Amino acid sequence: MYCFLFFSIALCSANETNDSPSFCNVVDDFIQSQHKFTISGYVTETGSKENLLGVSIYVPELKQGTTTNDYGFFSLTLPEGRHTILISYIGYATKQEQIDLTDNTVWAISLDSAAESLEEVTVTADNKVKESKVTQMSTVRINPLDIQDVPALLGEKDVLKTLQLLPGIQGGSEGSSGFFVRGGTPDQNLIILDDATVYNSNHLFGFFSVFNGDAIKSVEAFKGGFPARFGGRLSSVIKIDMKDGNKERLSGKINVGLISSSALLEGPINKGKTSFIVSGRRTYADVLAQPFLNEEDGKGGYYFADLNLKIHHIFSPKDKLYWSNYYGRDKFYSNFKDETSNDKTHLGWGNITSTLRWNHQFGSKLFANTSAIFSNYNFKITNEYEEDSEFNQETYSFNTSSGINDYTLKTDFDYFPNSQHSIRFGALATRHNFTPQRTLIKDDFTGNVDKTQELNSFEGAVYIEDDWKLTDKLRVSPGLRLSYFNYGGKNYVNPELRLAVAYNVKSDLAVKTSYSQMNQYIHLLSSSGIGLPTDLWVSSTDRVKPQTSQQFALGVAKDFFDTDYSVTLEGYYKHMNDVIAYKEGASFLAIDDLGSGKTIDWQDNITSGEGWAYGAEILLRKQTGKLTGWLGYTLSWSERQFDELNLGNKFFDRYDRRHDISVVGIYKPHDRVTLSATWVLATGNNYTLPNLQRLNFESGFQLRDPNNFFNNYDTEEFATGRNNFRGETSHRLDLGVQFHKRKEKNRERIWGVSLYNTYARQNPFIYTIDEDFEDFDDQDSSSDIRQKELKRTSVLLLIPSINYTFKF
Amino acid sequence: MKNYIFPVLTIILVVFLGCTKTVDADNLLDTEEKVLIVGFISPNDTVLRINVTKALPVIGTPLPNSNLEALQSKFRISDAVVTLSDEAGNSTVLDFSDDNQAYLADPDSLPVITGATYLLNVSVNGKEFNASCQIPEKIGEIAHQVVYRNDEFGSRIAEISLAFTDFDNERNFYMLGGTYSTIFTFEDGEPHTVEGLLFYDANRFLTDNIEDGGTLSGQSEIFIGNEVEVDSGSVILKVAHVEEILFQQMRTSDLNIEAGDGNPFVEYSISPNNILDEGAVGVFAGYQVTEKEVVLEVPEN
Repeated sequence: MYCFLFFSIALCSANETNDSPSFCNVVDDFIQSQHKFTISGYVTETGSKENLLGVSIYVPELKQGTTTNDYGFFSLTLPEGRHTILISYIGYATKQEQIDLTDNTVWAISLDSAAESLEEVTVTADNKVKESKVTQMSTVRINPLDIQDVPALLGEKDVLKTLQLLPGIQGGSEGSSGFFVRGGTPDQNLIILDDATVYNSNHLFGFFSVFNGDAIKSVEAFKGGFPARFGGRLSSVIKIDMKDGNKERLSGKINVGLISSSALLEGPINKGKTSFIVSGRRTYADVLAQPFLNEEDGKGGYYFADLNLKIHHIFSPKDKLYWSNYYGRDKFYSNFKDETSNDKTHLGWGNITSTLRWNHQFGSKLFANTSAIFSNYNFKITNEYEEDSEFNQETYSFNTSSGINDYTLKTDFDYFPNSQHSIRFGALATRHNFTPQRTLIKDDFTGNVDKTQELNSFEGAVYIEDDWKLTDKLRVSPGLRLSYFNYGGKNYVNPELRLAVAYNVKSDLAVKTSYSQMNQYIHLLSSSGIGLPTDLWVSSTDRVKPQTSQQFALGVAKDFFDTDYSVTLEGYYKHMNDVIAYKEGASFLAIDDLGSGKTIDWQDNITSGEGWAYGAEILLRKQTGKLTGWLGYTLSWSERQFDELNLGNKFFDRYDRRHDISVVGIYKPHDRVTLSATWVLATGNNYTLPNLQRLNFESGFQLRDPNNFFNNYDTEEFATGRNNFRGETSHRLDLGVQFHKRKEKNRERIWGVSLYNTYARQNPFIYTIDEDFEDFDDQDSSSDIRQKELKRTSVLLLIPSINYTFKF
Repeated sequence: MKNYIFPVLTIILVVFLGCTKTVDADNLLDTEEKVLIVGFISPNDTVLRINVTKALPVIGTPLPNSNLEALQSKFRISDAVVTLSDEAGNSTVLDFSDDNQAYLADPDSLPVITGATYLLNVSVNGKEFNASCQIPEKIGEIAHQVVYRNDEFGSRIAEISLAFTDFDNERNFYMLGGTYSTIFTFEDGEPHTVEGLLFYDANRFLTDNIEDGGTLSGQSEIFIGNEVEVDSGSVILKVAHVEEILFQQMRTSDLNIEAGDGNPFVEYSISPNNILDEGAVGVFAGYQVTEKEVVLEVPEN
């Protein structure tokens, strides 16, 4: 069916100027019955020729329109005659064009950035991409400028932490960039950077995300009602697109912050045809600390670095090539050396992605993109120890690594037969190569070990979806995805239905509903839930089934055209099957005991169960004007049930969060100052803590525990329920101010100051139970009392930062 | 390399201005006192033993620090009525023993038989708590191998491996244990006996989830001596075929030692519970031990 559809449409599109009656005309006649012409082309940014995605192309008198696709391409089929067309995009001046449509027309539209536009930005009712005008629900798009303006920890602008400020997307522990969408787990989030899956999105054990905000063009988050083009994860899709590079002139940006510096350079290689963008970031705490370290104590340090590189080449108006690359690495190193021994340890982890994309336009109605994608995540530990002393001569080395390599071929088609339909279809094939563990041990005494565990699997999918405007009031977006997964002799084939419906009660008020089925064939084993590099990606196997989910959502979207506010209210219910978790106490590789996973098969350590997540979200948003921002509130529940966990009883997930509020405000009174503030409040996370204690008595069991030999003089704590303890509510205010000074030749310098956790709220990071001894010095032993207390450790109290940015 | 990253993470957190404070747990970790019942029975028990004590809230319960009698009295329940019975209706009542701080009975009063189901009834302050268990089969022969080597310090080490066959067509849970005893003669001419328990580390807990009916094995090692010669030595290898809940109880207890050390990356495991009635927690389970004595034939240095 898929091949038939593709060849039919491609044939028709290629021959669309041919007047001869053919099968193509039959197809066209089927779709449209009156004489129409098509306007197609690209929308770019003035000055850089950066393609703009999601731009609204709208004809008010016909109430018809479309939006540009991911590559800035649009196609709009209209009746013959004169039309007024509005082209609008948030952050850019709206453009109004007149056209006398007598033939198929190709347009190249450029939009001026609102900041640079001499014209007043007009807000016209009905023209921008409004919440009440799109079929899709449970989707939010973030303006990259907001990421730059929102106050950030240590001035590190962070995409994922900005996303956490939206309803339905919750952060994990304090300061962590790990996130949980609608009661899901971090591995249920598909994070794609220019089509490539990013497996580990964290730096510094989760405090920062791997995405360098300087090079990002757009960020879109899907929390439910997933279009059929996305699959492979249960809870969310975070789609991040890098900039293509300025095709007109060389420009750049240098940012110096407290813990890192970054630089970006972009420009034409061949003006108007080929452009590049390169950006890099590195932390330098290790370099700055070196002079203060005592040489005798050895050397050690930690840093992370990112590098983004993208090249865009235009072969012809119909053929374009993009080559995007990302390299990110965290590295911890130590070297302890004395007269007789040398002990070196290195920990490194990071992602590499590379995507080669070819855009081809078949006529004015069919657009294709074909991608070849490589994605890699690798975690590696090396420890080398040498000793040459009077008592011992020893050489020992221990290397262990785990990782994943993905090789993907993907093709996507956007077909715009008329203004009622916007059809997408495509296919992808991915070969996953997992290495849950590779261990190399060289030991003079015990001999050498070389053990590699590999899992090779294949994941494929075909899909088709349509955004169908049935009437002026009713829009339907049906979709079907057929996913396939193979591991060894085991095959999984699963159809996934997708449906979104929007009904406009009024022109500015829509009722929406959606349904989506999802399958997830790869899983992250995480014992901590905080995004540590030791978390392990593994494949579904004959023993480990794919995770599946069904999600229903119902909501309303209301736009206030005169004030440019929008509000969305959504309720959702998600049921997940075969979600996996470590068994009680099991862990593949404990972060504090890196040799612990040497002999354990990961499949023996996991168990599967069910999950339920439901709740409601409200988002009030203002995206234009001097004051922009949003207010988000989430009321949610997230529960799990595993036969082998919590005695088989249902329990609340660790990040089950009843209330989550975020307020974001960005105020630009004039072009020299940007003020920003965020305030967040969240119900505490759930923890498993011992709630009861017993005397450590002799049980009579005939095999005595050698680890607990002297057991009659102490007590033993135990927990009677998983996640039996809900932490305290967290809240925090972050403030930021930026001072801009524009100079000649488009140069600009920005001083930014931010305060994280302004009122130094001691939010919980972890809880522990410690013993407090009373009357310790009292000689009378009868008053020598001990009592256990609950301790809360807080981090990130009132962190100021300053950073300097220079743009040219 | 153990515990290497944890200090680094701690330093990172301190850099980010961490602070620790005591918090009031009243509204956060609200737990009521419960009755704790623990009993493991086996056909080769020399005494039937059931522990019935209090389980007290962790937070906010003052405990004597060094007075064992005072500590025991905080947890003691000495007036419970503990009855053990089989499905045929035979029963025995266990009496509280001050010396053992547990309820005991002579095994002849209720023979424990392989495959049989036993019922436990505990009455505390008028409340009844019930549980049941079944006695697993005894495993077949234990195979063993002993390899002697010298470690890097010149000490004599005996590496002891054992293996046995899993039962077919059912989930089985095993625990390994054992003791060793070696006799040395030092320069004073007096023989000295050293005894201890065998350590198996991760091998102590075994299941058949990888292969049903296959061979399961474990390894331990003991220190025999360095300069001195060993007169004689022996090892008693023990394999317990246990009910799943006993396995979980022991493993949880083992794992929670690390969690209790304040490691934030290790979560507490949930203690299993097969006491049917509200107000009590604990485990009543059956097991069966197979033993094998191995005489150590230590080669001369």
